[in-house]
Amino acid sequence: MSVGYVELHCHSFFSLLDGASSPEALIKRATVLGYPALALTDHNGLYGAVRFWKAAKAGGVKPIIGAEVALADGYHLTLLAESQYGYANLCRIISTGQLAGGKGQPQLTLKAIERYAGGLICLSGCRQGAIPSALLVKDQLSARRMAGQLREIFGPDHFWIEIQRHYLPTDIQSTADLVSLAQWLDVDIVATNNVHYAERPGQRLHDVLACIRQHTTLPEALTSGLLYSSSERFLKSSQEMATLFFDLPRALQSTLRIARRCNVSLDFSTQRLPSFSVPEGHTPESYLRVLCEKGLRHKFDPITPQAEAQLAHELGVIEGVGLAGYFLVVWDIVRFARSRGIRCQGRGSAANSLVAYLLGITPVDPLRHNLLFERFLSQETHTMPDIDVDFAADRREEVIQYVYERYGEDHVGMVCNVVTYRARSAVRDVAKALAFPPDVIDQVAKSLDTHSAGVAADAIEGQLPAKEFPAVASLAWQLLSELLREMEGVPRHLSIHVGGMLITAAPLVEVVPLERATMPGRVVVQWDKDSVEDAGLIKIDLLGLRTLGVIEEALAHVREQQGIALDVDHLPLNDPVVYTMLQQADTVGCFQVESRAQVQMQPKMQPKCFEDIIIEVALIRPGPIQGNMVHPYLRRRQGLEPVNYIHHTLEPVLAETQGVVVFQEQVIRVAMVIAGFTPGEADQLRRAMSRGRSQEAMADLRDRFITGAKSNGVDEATGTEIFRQLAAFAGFGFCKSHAAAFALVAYQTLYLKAHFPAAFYCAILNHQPMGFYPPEVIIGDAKRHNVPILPPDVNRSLAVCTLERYDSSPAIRLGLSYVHGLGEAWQTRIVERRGSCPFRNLSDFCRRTHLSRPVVENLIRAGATDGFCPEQGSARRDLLWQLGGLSYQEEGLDIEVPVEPVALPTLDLGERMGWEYELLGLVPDDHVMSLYRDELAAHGLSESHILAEQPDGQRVRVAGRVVVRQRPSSAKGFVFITLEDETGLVNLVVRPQVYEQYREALRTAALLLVEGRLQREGAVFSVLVHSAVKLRWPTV
Amino acid sequence: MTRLWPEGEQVEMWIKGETPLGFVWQGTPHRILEVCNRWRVHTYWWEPDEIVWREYLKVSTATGLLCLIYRDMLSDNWFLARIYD
Repeated sequence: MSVGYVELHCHSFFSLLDGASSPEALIKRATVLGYPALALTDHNGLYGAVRFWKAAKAGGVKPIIGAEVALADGYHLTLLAESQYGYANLCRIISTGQLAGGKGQPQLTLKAIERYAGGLICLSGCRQGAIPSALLVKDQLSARRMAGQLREIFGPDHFWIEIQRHYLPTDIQSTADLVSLAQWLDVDIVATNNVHYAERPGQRLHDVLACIRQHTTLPEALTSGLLYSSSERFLKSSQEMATLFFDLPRALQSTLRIARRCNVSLDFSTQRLPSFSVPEGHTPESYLRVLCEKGLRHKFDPITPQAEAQLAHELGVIEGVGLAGYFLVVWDIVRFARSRGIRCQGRGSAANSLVAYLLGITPVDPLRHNLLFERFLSQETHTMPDIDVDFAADRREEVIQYVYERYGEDHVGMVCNVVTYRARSAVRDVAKALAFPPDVIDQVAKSLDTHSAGVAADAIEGQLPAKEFPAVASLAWQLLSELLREMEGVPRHLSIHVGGMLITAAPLVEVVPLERATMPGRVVVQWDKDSVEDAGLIKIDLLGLRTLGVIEEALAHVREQQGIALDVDHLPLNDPVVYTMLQQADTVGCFQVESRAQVQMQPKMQPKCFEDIIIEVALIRPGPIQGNMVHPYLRRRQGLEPVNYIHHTLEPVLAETQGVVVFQEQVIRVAMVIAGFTPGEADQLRRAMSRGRSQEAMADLRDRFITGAKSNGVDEATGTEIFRQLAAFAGFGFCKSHAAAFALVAYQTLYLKAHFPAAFYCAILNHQPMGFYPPEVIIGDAKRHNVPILPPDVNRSLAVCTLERYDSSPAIRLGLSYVHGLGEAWQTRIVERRGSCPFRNLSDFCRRTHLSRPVVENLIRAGATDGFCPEQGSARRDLLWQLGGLSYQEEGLDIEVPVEPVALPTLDLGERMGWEYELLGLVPDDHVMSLYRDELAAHGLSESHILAEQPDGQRVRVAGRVVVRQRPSSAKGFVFITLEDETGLVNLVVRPQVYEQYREALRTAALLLVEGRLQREGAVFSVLVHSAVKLRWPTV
Repeated sequence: MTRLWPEGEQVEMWIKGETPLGFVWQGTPHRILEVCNRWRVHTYWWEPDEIVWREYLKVSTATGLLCLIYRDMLSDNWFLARIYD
């Protein structure tokens, strides 16, 4: 009869490149085995602790939180938290080790462990522990000394000698030595299995991870002794452990005794935020009220009863859930940013809140746009609210620094981001471990069209490229495919989350361990945003949005060039020019409304008011398109289909979206109106629906919904149908307040493009990379809007793009930063050395800047020195020739060798453009397709703007430069390509079969010629591609 | 001197539960007196024709042998690998 067993030494895949199983898989196996408890002891961290704790609670297994820490001398020690106090100490120990060393190289001493030993149980460790290592080499003395130290530090009731049996030849001897040591020390023994995978077959992935970690292949790792020779490190049943430890049942009983003693909770919802220092005489609640009332007087003139009532309601809820301080913290951060001229605004569900609006955190009036506070916060909400704030990306760092300074490094940390294996990285690493030839690995990795390792596994299994690569056996491909599937979701490394910051009341280091980030001076917590939320903590997302920086810069240009102080935050939202631009899909460069999908829909939708922009932002996304929400909405809007409501009470809720559920707020309102749910219950319903629950959970929700509907006089059939529609749409619904906040920024960019195009385009070019289109498309659009683009010029350009008068209108002078290979230092040097005295000629330029020859050559070829040559035609060749004859040095005297003028052949247009594409990534004053135009015309191809006049169904041929390639995962294999020529953009639609047939051209061509059928719906057209061929790049 | 069979000499094994009691080799029965050591090897899983998954037992027999036998975990057959002199 087995004694029962609990595994106390267990690694998940958060022991990076070592453990092979997820915390969830470990818990699942533990429940099958009937474990009452399970410990997680990842290397030097608690990365997976919250996931583990959550899965354990759900699975009815008691979670034991621990870690295997590495001491500075490399030896391992297993630590388990016995109590909440012990947990805090565990975090401190891990943090101490992590922060003492460099990134990824913790340095922990026994002294540090001694300081924080309280509340911890210590096990002597695996074969890499100091004690077993010493015993292995018969060094009794060291073993006894170390064991004695640990017993001293932790106490006899908190220190166990750990015994592992993995069917090694040394097991018998090592067990005898350890048991003897325990007896000598008068401490107890405990059995563990040093688990690295949930079940035996996990050995394969474990071995592969070891190879990846060691940068080697499986055969080499085996001969070098880097692999474990057996497959015993899995979660074993109590029967298997009883067989293994048949002579030491006491060691098994110890596991149960220890498990009973360990009790730790990872619910930190009481930790929340530090208290915000408010003016004397105030509490956070009263101060929040004062600020809101001030905002109310400022934004509502007159103050309406509705606004007053809503404010009172929201403040009541906020006070009820104790979050007044949270709002003040965010208000303070936004206040700081604005005081420094950093453009910012809140986004997400927070924009549903009047309080957030009155505090100036979010930009949209929730009353005006019919938003719903309960989507953000309610008394019944069990999850913490999230306020995300976007800041101008180039200045976000200042805001982050402010938070660190204000709350102290001890209370502030950046949330981490777990980067998991994607298809290409997984293929490269696994195939290398399997000893695939490097060129085969390269080809396979590059040919993948997916990001998911699991999908890549299917692709490789389906195609089994054995014939194509005879050097690799087909069984090896099978193995690769199987292992790739197992790599899905496996962490590769940690990085910092883009803007998530954690601020806690207690010192952060007692809540979650800290470690160094790659960025110098930056410290990151070991939990990602999901773990932070599940632990009941609040994070604030301080995000960077380049568009905000664009707007700020455009405003500065408008101020400087035209003396206008434009207030984009208070624009009337009914400018007809803006809506005309949208209706004509003239939206390149504009936030949220420029993508291919948006452009296809705008002429159909014909947006006329701000609410339409909100709907457009919410609706035109892969989810709703896939969920078949967009077409019903558009058809009803165009009058092609009647607008009807399943129940008359839904009309006020869904009228704004033609009876179609678009917004998450509508899901909540429908549940309230039909089934009588409270706002909080309705939000829980929405949340449950959008997370794809199990059949049983959905059935339960449906029952409650229908019961509520019936009591409201709605019959069962109608209630069922409404529930079905909600469930179908809930997953795709967008948060209206988020869409509204974004729609405002979209409107601002449209307005700037319409009225101040030069300033707008200049700002966009200075904030790359951003948006849907590359810079070359932006300048094409600028030119079509009568904004000339001037090439970079060593005598006129700054590092950034600037505005210049050209033929009495504003033009954009490209900055020196657009010249490839010209680093910041060189750019600065050119501008500084130029000063107020332009360079007279090439020689003067070289002598004053001392730039290296290759750099000068690039500047010449890019056209930045065209001004030095009077004859445009031969300018660049001449200058290159001159450069060849010019002798100059970085320091010291320059000697000029007189150059004999030589009549050089003119640089032809194709060569010039080739140089400009190579060095600028664009052609300022022309388009590469113009080189082909005559020949294309001779073959009956027309420019893209002619297509706009062709009828639906017409067979057409068109050519252009590929500027966008998209293969959305929701599009079922369809590929979308955008071509650009001298006159505009053309959208191509490629079916999966056609893509496979013309894959090489469609995937890799820079210039493409396609034949297909024009698909037109009103003003919107695209080309359904039948065939495609690459155009050769112009060569000399 | 040691006698070694690199490919293993198949033997017929008597087992009770998980306990090996003896084996028959070349027609002669050898009762096991003591299992002196026991270990497992599981490797070469990436070469399906070469997988090694074995449990080795170093045993002394009533017939005076000290030998190394192993169980192939895939086929469940037993083999004699070595006799120590």
